[in-house]
Amino acid sequence: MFGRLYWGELRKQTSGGAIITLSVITVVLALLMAVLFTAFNDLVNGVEEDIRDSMNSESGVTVGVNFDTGAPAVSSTGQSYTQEEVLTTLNYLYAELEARELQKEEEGYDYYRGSDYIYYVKGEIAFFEYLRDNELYGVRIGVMRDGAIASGEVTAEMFVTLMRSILFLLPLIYASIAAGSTFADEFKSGTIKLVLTRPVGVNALTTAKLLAAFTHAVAAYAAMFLLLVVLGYSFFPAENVRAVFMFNNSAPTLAPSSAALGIGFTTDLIMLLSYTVIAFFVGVVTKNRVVAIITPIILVDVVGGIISLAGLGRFFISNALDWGQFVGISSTVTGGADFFISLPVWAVYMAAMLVLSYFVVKRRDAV
Amino acid sequence: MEKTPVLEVSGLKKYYKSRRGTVKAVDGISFEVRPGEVVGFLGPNGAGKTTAIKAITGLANYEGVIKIDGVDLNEDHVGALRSLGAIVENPDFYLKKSAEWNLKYLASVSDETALRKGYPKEEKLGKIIADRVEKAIARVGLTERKKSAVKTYSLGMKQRLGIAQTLITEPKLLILDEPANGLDPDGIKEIRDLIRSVAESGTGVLVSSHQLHEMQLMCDRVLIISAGKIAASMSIDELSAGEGRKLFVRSDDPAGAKKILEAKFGVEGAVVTGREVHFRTGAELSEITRELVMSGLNIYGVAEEEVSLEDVFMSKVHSRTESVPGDREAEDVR
Repeated sequence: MFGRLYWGELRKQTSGGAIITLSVITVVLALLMAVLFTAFNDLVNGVEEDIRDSMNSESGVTVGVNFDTGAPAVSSTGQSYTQEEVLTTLNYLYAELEARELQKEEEGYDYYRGSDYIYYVKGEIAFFEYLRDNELYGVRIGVMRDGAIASGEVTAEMFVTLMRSILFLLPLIYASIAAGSTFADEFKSGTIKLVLTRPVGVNALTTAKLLAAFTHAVAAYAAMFLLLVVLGYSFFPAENVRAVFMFNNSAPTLAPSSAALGIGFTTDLIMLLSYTVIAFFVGVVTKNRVVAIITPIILVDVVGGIISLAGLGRFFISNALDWGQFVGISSTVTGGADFFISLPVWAVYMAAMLVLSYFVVKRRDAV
Repeated sequence: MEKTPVLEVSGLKKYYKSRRGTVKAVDGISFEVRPGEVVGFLGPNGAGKTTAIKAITGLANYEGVIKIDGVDLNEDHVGALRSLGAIVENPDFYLKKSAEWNLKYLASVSDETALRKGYPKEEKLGKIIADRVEKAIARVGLTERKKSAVKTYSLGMKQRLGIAQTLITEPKLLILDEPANGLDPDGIKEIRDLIRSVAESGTGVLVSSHQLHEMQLMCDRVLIISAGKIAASMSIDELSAGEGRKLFVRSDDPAGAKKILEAKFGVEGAVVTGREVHFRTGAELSEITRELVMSGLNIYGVAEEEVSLEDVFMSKVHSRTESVPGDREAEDVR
């Protein structure tokens, strides 16, 4: 019975027009970018040397500068380090950390407010300590914390990672439409009466609608991702640099850089499903599809931004939605972000929205 | 042995909060519908008909007891709805989809036990659904247009498809809210015949409508609801008997005739229209004729009129609404 209910919801939420439109946009943009990347390959090649040259190589310190904070930052380009370079850089970073912590103590600096210098320095220390402890000298390594590794040429992984972040909006819109409309449209057209006068449990119906929306979200994103992977590996060579993934800005782990694709896929999917829950919840409460589709974006980006400015960002859902930052995939690490704070914050928001959705559907008069 | 009701409503209440206080949209109504019976549910706008129907069909919360085929709706929501087919307010569809798609979808989310009723155990569910859909479409005469999107259907076709939706699992109770709304006379007759044939197969039908003449033709019994309460409940046969016979006298002096009727037979509320006097009385026709002729009036005719449902409706509704002002708020606050 539930299977048939779920299948029915899946078919109802399928919008042929939206699928065709978004598919065409995705394919055209991905192909266009693949061609552009190929054309500009020469510009990207050799960037490793340029970056290396820009570092303070004379002193043996092999870190660049974080664009936001001015803090030291390991280049995301794949580089090999000598033992001397690692130890010199570590000493430099220890001194930086000590100086900044002293400054913080004197000025009463708020550790979690905005992008944080100390936070970044700690991440760099974790990276170089990992190299030192595992004696990873002379091995070409890139840190994944700042996104894709640029090994000095355009690679399949770089293409997929970049395009994934650009095109993510399309499955996000599709999933939001599916989730936000599923109840709202039925209320608007009156078909909710048709369904609810059948021997269908209200909770079962809500679950079927939610699972159908999840299915659409996963299918849309998986299709887009698969296309990017196929295009990426068709047009460009695979990455040959090993990557360090930093969990929660610490605890580095070495893996092939292609692991970034799997991690990116998973973290994007969690974010996508989280947005789906928000759109679903708003659709249930407001019975309005437009509000349901727009609200998640406003809630996460606008309200989230304002709350972050007030220094409460880590308690708001927008910070908690970006799982990539905790596993070294996001292009930007939010200063002070902490997995062990964001996880319960995310769980509370998601659980609250799901529980409220079920409660409202069950308790409110259907018409 | 009396048949068990397919619908038992007892002390049904639905109150709303409004800025002006609590509105008693439905105020403790009780009634039953038996198998094979067509019961008309009548009342003016805002009387509480649709609110009561929403509660009975599980679309609104309520106080009181509603049992469908003996199953309490509040205790076993899904179990009670297994025996129900309903159109509430208007028939609703997925307009971009075909009639066949709509029916298949509804069948697919219906109870498996109900779907399998009358089919061999080994029959595949998909085949049963396809067969039921075909039968339902054929029953309402939409076979030729079953593949067309519902948005291309005429109003009459939509009404018929709406009824097909309710019949897909052969429910024991059918609730139809204004099923003949917007239909031409042929369409109305079609719907009436369809409802009668459904009732003849043993389904209890509760049908609400403003078309009183149609109700009189279609129903076995009527309930009149006014200001959230049941104002009258009677069979169509009881209509005439309950209110006394309705007569008219045609004379060249209708005012004089009226005076005689009032004096000799205690008639109240007689109405003079042109050369006719219309009135109700329990007196015999021959006695009235003799009395009027002996009074010296020229009498051209004395005859019995049929008591219509409209007469009863107007008398019951107006007697209640005059005493309960503000009754119409109920619809407004929803």
